[in-house]
Amino acid sequence: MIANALQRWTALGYWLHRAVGGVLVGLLFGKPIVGAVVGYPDPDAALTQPGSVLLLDVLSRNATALAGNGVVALVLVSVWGLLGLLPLSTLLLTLGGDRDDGNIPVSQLFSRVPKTVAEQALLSLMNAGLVAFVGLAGVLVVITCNSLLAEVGSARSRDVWLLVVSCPALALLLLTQPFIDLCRTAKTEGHGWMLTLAKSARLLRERPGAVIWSWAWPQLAGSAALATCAWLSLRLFSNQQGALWSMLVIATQQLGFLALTLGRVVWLANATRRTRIRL
Amino acid sequence: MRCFEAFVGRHCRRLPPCVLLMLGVLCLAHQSRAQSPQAIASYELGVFLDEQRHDIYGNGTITLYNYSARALTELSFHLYLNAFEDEETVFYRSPFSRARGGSLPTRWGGVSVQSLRVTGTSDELWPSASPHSPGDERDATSITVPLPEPLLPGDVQSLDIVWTSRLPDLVDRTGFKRDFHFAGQWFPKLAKLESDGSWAEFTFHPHGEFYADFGDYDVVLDVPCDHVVGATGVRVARNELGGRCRHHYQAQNVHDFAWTAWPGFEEYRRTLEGIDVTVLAPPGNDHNVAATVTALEHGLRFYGEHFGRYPYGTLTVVHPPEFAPAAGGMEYPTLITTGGAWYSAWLSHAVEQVTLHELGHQWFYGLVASHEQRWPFLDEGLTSYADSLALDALFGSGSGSSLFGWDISASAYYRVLGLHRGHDVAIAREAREFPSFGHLGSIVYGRTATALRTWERAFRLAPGELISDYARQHRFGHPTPDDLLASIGERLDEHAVEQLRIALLERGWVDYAVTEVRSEVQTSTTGGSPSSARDAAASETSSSSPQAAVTLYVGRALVIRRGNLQLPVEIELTDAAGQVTRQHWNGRDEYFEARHSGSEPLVAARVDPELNLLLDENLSNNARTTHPESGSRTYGVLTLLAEVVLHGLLP
Repeated sequence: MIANALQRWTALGYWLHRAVGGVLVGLLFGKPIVGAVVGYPDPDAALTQPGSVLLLDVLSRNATALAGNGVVALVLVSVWGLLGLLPLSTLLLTLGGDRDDGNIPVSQLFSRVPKTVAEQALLSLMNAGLVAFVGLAGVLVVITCNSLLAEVGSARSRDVWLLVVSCPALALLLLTQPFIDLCRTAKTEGHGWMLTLAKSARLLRERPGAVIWSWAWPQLAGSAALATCAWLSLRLFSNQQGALWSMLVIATQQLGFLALTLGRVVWLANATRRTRIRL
Repeated sequence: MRCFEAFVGRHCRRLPPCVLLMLGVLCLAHQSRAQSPQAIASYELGVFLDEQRHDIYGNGTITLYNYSARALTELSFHLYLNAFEDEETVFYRSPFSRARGGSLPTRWGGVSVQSLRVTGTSDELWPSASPHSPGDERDATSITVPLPEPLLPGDVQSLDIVWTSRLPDLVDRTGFKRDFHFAGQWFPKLAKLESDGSWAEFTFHPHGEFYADFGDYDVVLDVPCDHVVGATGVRVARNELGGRCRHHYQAQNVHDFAWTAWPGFEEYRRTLEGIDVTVLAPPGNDHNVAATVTALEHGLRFYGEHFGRYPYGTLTVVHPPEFAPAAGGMEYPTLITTGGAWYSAWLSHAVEQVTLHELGHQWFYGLVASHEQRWPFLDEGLTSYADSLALDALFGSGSGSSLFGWDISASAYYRVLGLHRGHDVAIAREAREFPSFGHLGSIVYGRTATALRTWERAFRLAPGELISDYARQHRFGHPTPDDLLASIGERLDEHAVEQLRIALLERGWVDYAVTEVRSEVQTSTTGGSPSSARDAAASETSSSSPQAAVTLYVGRALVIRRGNLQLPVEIELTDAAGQVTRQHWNGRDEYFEARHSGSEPLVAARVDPELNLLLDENLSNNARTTHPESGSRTYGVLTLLAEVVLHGLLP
């Protein structure tokens, strides 16, 4: 799926961008929290004492600082998201390499990046619009049904009905993601907008099960790997003290995140192959 | 017998047996008086619910026993429902006017008395009643009625009454919503008669609750037969006539009567700890009911063990329908209300928490019937303390919440709540004197619970031991803060009780801080006299090789006590080799120097390492180290969380 060195490097860049973003946001929130207990011989152990008395004390005492950092984090994530179009575009270009061996010449890669970034930005806007539209439609349906069912049956049966009527919207929201990703890979192939949309829609319509499965399984596998690594790091290594063990804990967590990111890369590679075959 | 044993143990070892026997009899008499109260204010009521108009038509007999030392020339009634008659009442003029319902009622309520007569006479008393509450022309929740003849001490007076209660749209734990009715504080109720012959008069303020004499209630509720009914006491009969049912309830030794009627209730019956428990809940709440029953079973046992057995044969728990949340989270004698969405018990301990809190009120309000308007901390604060203990016993460190292995205790939540407003105002003050409901919630609930947990831990008492005597000694009584402190004084020394008095009555606060940690090389000798166990070991080595040098480090950790509370505390010292020692400080001075001497330098000090002093305002300054660590694992977890969020957001 990720056949050559260039693809591996761009995949690494794709992961690195997210990892660095995570570190920056983590630092934003971590600084006031850890700073409040820096006098403790072992700040990590102090914050995880049973009952979380100290942790809650730190969070409540630093609520203002944390809220302020939350605003900064929002700005940071927005800027980071825009910057993220660059590693995404290079990844998509290398995944859809023009040469027979699947590679794309580096010079061609650099020359195509600006246009691809712009296209991916438009697709991101389209994604946001679609999500907002489907989400709003779903909310409207739920609100309408809620008022119609207001005095009918028990609260539980009403909630179940609301869940049922909101299922189509949820399913559409879910489908939006593979659809937009198919559009991303199709557009990277150099097709016009109408053709890109039509091809992506046709792929989803003709083989919905296969497309959704190939979208879902890498992400599910990545999520499972992440959960396992997080569990390992928190449960198995939590009683081990020392800098080396701390590094092992963090490395395990990052391994999990790498697996999660790889899951997405695998899906994007798969989507590239699907759009190419169909085209 | 506890008081007898305690008295003998402390003072009477040398008294003759006959005197001891006499003291014992006196003690037993005192105990039995506390266990079986006199019926001061009793009610026999017949009630008709007009479910279409949401009105209650009532009549009956009120019997008052003048146990005071003074002849009574007037009666004082609480007409609590009049708080909801317009926006001009004390209730709606207060800053917390919209109360727990969050909105003004769409229909106002009130009580109108049609007739009040001394039994056997025809003279109407109500026309001469005061038109409004004392000192407030716009409020009619506290009404005085002159008696035609003084009621002498020890005499009993019966009064026949006819009245109509107009239920408001459900606002503050009372009223109706659609076809759901909850009647709390719904009938003309005598004020509490104090022992000096005065009446405990007060207007209904949204910050405060109630106060009344114990008595016997005999109430017949006439409601449509399709309505499921729950009420204070025991249902002794149910008769059906023409589509309406008459539910006959009796309750002894209680000081209020509340009831509910709704066609939608499902009824669950259990026997828990020998008590007939009825849970009324809307359909689809099976899991909530199971959680409620678990909490009740645990609570009845836990509170019974610590504060004396629940004395009544029944307990009714009402889980209001989701469209009537304002009826939830309230206590009445032998009846409590809980609340929450049908899926609450799947997500959190909220159902168990509210159940244990309201159940706790059966002791601290129901049995120990303190003045809730005058001293709200005696019911809400002590109940919060009690429920945090019960929750800890039930759920351990995750008694507040537990999410993916992240446990937060109930004490931690109460601490944050209690310290949120700092020590702005004293804990022990009248409900209406709190500057806002936020202050009342923070200080009465959170700070009281936090203070009591602090005293319990600081003075090494078992959970609940701090107020166990108080709960038992004042059962069926009306104690004050002085009574609480006196009871606690039987377990703690005078200084500890005085500190607690300051914490409760005088805005007491405390903050322990480690402000300095340092070590110096004092001497470097061969075979010098060691001053610690570690040095002793080093000395043994050096004695076998006299040329070896021993380096002695002398250091100190400086611990400052800020605030006006003096509490004993442990100080933990750590040297460079990781050796940990502890020193005890009684907390009475303004600062304490924890001295260290050993073969390794002192690198860290921590005050209150077990976090016993939950009232400590700032825990961040409780430790200091010469070698700060980075907190890398915390950064690691936060980074991972941020990465996952970013992964979900970014393309």
